[in-house]
Amino acid sequence: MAVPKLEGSLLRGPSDQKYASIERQTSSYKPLDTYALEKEKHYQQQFGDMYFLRLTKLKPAVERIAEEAWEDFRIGNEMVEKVERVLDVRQGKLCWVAGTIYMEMPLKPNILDDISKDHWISAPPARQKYLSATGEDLVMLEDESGRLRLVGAPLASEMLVTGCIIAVMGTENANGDFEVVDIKVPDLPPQAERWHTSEPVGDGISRKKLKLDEDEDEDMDKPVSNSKKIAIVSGLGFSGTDSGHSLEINLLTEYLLGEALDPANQESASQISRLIIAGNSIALDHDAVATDTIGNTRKAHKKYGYDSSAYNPAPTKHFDDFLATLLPTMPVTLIPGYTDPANVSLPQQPIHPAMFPQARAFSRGPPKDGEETQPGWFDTVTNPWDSEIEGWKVLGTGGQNVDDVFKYVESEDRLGMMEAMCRWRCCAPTAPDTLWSYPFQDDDPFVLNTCPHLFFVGSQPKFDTAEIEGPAGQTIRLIAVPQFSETGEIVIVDSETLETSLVRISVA
Amino acid sequence: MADYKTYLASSILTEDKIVSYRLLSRALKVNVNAAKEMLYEFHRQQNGKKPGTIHATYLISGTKQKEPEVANDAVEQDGEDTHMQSSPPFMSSSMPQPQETSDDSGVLSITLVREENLDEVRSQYEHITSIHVYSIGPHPLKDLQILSDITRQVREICADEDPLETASTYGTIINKNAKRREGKRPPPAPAPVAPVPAKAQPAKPKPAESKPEPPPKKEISSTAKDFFGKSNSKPKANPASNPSSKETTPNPPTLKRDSSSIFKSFAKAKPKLKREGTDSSVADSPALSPAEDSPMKGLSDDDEEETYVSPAPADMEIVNKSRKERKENEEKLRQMMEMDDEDEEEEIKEIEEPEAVEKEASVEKEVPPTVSGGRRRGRRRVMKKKTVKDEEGYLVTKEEPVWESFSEDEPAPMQKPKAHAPVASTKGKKAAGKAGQGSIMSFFGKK
Repeated sequence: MAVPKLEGSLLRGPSDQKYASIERQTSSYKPLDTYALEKEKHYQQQFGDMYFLRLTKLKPAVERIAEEAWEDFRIGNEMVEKVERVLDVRQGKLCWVAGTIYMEMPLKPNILDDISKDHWISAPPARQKYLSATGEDLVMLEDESGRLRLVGAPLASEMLVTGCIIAVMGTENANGDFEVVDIKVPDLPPQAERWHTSEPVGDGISRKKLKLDEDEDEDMDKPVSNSKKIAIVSGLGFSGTDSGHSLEINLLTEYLLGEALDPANQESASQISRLIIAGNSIALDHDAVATDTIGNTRKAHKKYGYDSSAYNPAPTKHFDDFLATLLPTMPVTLIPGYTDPANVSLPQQPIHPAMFPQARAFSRGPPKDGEETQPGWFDTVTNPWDSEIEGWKVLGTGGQNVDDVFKYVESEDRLGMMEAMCRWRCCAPTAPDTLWSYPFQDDDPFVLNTCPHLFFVGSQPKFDTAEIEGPAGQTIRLIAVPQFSETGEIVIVDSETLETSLVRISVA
Repeated sequence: MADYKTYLASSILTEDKIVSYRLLSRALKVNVNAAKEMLYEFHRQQNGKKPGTIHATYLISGTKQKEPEVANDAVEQDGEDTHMQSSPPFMSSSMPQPQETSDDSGVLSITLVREENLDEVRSQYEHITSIHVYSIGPHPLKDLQILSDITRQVREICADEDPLETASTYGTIINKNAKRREGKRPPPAPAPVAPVPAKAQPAKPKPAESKPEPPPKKEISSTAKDFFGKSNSKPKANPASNPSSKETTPNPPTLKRDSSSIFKSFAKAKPKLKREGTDSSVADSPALSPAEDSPMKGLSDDDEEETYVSPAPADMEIVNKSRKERKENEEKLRQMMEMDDEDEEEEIKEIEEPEAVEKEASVEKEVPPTVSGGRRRGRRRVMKKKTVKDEEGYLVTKEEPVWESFSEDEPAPMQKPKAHAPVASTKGKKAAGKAGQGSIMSFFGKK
């Protein structure tokens, strides 16, 4: 065993050295309940209201931008004119109009198709993309008055999905199609400054050594910056049948607990003040679903209530163990994802803490009269979810919104889709068309009223990050959080600079 | 310092087990970093004596050299994607264009590696920030995933420890802000767990976190409460007042069983009633719904404490009095129950009958119908069942009067909760009457 001497190496005999207890950085955290539904949910409403609400909310914004851009625009002698409604567009006249995009795609799931068929066949396998190879897809612009088919070159370069609000300039041609010359989007909403609504708490307190008795490991070459970090992990994928990555999860736990690695690395792990779990913590077990689609087989042995033999408690049990191990040392925010035991339609409501018999001891207590409710140490939240962490406005989702937009466009660029959502001011434009959604009546919460500083999306194929800027100096840090079960990666965000880094855990 | 050697020797050499640094740290109650060093020392010593007896795994962290596979991705994309590549960047993107985001410099790579592959993995690293022994065992590991089983053993060892207290012993990062709900016992872990006193935690007790107290509980009428209280705290002084039923032994437990047998016979009848009520989409009698709801209480975590509160001495008089009354009632009930089956069925019918009446009555309340277009139309008030989640997330079924429009050609009692029923508009909460759990006795009082 010729192991060369290394800094940070614990390959040495035990010494009487006392190790300092490391204290974790505090987390300033203020969750917002923008996406929380009322306890009483009604599903009789029409979904069309959501489009109406979205259009009324975003039309002024996009019209302002379009007006500025196209005020004195002229082609030849013709001045461009604003048209109020889609139906008012006259043939041959140069004009611009704002409305909602509707993508007519033959491969898109369509409820009317299902109804028009006499019999229900089993659902076709989910498609990778809705795009048709032969170019049968139509782009339409609609508002409450009617629909207009859009054609022209600018469409090819613009990412467009059902439900986004844009303004188009052009003219109607002889076929009745609208020849697009230019397109404008609402662009980023106004952004509040950091610490806009919440107060910085206990910022001056840096961690202190309880038992200061350290020697050489202190002054390592590793720059230990004093700022806090936020860890974001997605796709933990606890499964009842496949435990292929359980060791990686254990190593992750040990890293976050500050038990793995050497004192210097433990010190930097102590800067992680919060763990955010962004969706898909529980893996989809395919065998459990299989019986459901056939229908008949299931009924045969159906007892009253639920069939306990079909239920496998292992995934939640393991997940609970994971949470219960971490919670004493760090606060955890749990965002549900597509495969998690929450409702499927967006906004997904928090996973009930009762699912986690051990971890629930850290969850929020029941509300008491006359007292401000404190966010739980273990906070199960909605998806999408917004909050203020360390003063930054943070918006995060479990990933369904991006995955669904991905099906509409040719691009593979997940960050581009995230950017587009920000510029559309809508974090789930394809809801309620192809993304399941609650039928909102009074407000479309997916519309971004304020610009987040940090926008992360879980369950993406690979890690990616970028910073985008808005016309009024807004900046958003976009993060595509990879699936932990696939990549073994978690994202660490610096809470001062919003710079990101990765921790990749692997087993050789 | 020698005891770690005996522990490791017995675990690894005798019991043929794998020991990780966490397991060692938990078993000996030492800091994890010290445990890592102990593992190293033991590994070195044993292999020094006789090479190949102990096999270790190592945990390495640091930055890896750039992997070449990044380039492959780009090539693949070029192959399948033809349209987008030539198109201009999306929108007014301020995103830094195709920049190597998969730059590995900012990545902290943590790799668990077998002793055998250590050198290979080390060569992949550009800079190693830390390395330590993760586990040692008597055999080389074929599948490292076996190590995840050790976590379970660690959990078993620590099952009766409070993680908030022991964190500093093991060198886990401590967090003084961690707050737990009070009055809650951590759920039993695999091993029997001693209840951890909530005061032990370093966190300041937050009022909001204190023991949950569902307000509805308070509204239990005194009779219902007394009932439970009595059967529990039955004084031995007056066994004579016990109903002289066949199997009576003047013991509180027996009495409890007795009375519950009465309940049971009703419970048998109840589902029947319930089903009937839902089928016709007409609500049950108001008295019944609290009774239905009552099983829900069992789900609430803190009912046990409250249910078995014995009545305060001041209430004794009232209790005694009501007890006597109740005893008479019970007596009567029992007699009824002891009749043969036919009678029992009659009983049930009797119970059902008020239901039917109620049903009719509730439908009859209607606004004088208007005749338009040769059809009688109008609105009538029907009782509808509604299941909602209360603040605590429990399902509560209550009934509310709902206005329903109807027309002549619809059969009157077969109203289905169709879309035209303005359910949404009747969100206005039913008055406080239904808010709490009603008296269970009013159910029996009916007869």
